Amino acid sequence: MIEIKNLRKAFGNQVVLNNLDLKIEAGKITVILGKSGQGKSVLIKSIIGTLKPDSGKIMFDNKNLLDMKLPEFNKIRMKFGVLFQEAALFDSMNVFENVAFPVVEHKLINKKNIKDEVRRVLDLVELGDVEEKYPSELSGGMKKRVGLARAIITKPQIIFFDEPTTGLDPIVSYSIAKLIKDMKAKLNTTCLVITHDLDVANLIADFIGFLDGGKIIEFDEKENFFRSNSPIVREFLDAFKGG
Amino acid sequence: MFIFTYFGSLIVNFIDQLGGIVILASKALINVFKGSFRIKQTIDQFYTIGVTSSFIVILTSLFIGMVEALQIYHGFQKFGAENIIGYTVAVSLGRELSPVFTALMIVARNISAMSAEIGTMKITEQIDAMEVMAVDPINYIVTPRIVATVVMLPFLVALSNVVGNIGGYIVGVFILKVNSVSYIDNIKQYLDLSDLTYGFIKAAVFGLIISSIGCYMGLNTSKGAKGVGLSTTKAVVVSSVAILVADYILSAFLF
Ligand SMILES: Nc1ncnc2c1ncn2[C@@H]1O[C@H](COP(=O)(O)OP(=O)(O)OP(=O)(O)O)[C@@H](O)[C@H]1O
Ligand SMILES: [Mg+2]
Repeated sequence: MIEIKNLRKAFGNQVVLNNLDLKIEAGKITVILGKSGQGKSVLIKSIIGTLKPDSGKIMFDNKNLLDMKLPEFNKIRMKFGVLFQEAALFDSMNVFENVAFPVVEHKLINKKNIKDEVRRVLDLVELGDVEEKYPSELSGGMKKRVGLARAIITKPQIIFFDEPTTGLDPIVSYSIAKLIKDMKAKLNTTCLVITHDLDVANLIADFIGFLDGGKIIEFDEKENFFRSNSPIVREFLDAFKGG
Repeated sequence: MFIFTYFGSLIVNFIDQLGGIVILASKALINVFKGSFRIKQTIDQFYTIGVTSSFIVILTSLFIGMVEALQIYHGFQKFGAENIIGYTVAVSLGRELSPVFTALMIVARNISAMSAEIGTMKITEQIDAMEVMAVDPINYIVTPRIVATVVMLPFLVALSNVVGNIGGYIVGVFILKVNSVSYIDNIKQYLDLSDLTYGFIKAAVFGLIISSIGCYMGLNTSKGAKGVGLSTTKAVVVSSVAILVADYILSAFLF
């Protein structure tokens, strides 16, 4: 669905993505693991167009996203759903307005159904009576789930999750992981998930990639990935087991 | 050597930012003419700018009118011309003092907040989130603020004129004992409508300049909470200076 070739992004002298290649298969869940600060968020931001890579290609349906003019790119972005690492909720709007924002803006659903639709996605992320609350009145984990609700309300073809379960308790983490899996199963949604949580990765992944030193140094189906011999990957996997 | 590179980079930076501000303002205004313009957000901004600032405008204008009357009285008394202080206060308020001071108050009260609010949205990725959802942040955030500032500022200047003249009247008539009938008559006789419209036009121009600067500085915030503070300071300083520069240019060349 998305094929990234030779992607490079530097901030000043610091090369964060160094000719990175990655394939995101349609209808599959691809998980990216990697140590903190290795450029996982930068990778997502490059695909969704909030950071401009220095060079490389991001092919979507055989067209390079990086060559597109904004109106064309926006048409593609309508097919994207994004969960930001810090949720990025609009703090001048309450939860209802936040979640409804994309469907209201693009008139994706009938006005009188919006309320039900918002309720439906909030139920999916297991949030009760929060519609009237403002982001500043929510816990970190709740914000994340509101962000997730906002990302899925448009029924996107592909969703980018930047650490969907970080900061959530294990029970909610588990149900979010299941939600992601369900969306794939029921709606055939393609997912790119960044996470530190190996349990979540194990639960949901079809493919796992490991980002280190600006490249995907290991990429395989889940079962094979966990048997990787790469010392860097092993160190990461063993550290998790130990901890 | 160092000093040249320092001033050199300062000038380059200045031109760069000026360009950025002009481009932002043009994009925002194109939205207005295209008619793709958001009524709800604009009304919210009318409220924020108009209502929340009227108190501070009233307060400052009252004192400006009072001080003006006092100063002018001391000068004009020497020539026995104290009867025309009503007119003099009204004309200097209308053409100069009300637009400039009101704009400065809006900078302090609203432009700083505008820049801080947009800056916070920027560093918490709210602007990015909007872009990703294919919603143009300029259309959603910038245009309503610029339109509201441009439209509201002349009204606030009108308010400032009214209150400033009341201040002048209070000091002139009740404290300095100028004849109340001739105070008013003088204004009626000499004050031209153009003295007021001139001030309103100035105000609208100031509104365009300061709101564009406030939004630009906000959108170009980086580096966390400190960055928000920095861009807010910049927004206040640059727009205050810009008001005075624009005031000179408008006074010298346009009217
Ligand atoms: N806007 C930016 N300007 C400068 N440097 C940046 C910027 N964004 C990211 N970086 C740098 O790029 C590197 C990768 O950042 P990124 O946020 O992608 O890490 P990450 O892999 O997502 O880490 P984490 O797991 O902690 O979220 C970091 O060293 C960071 O300092
Ligand atoms: Mg990250």
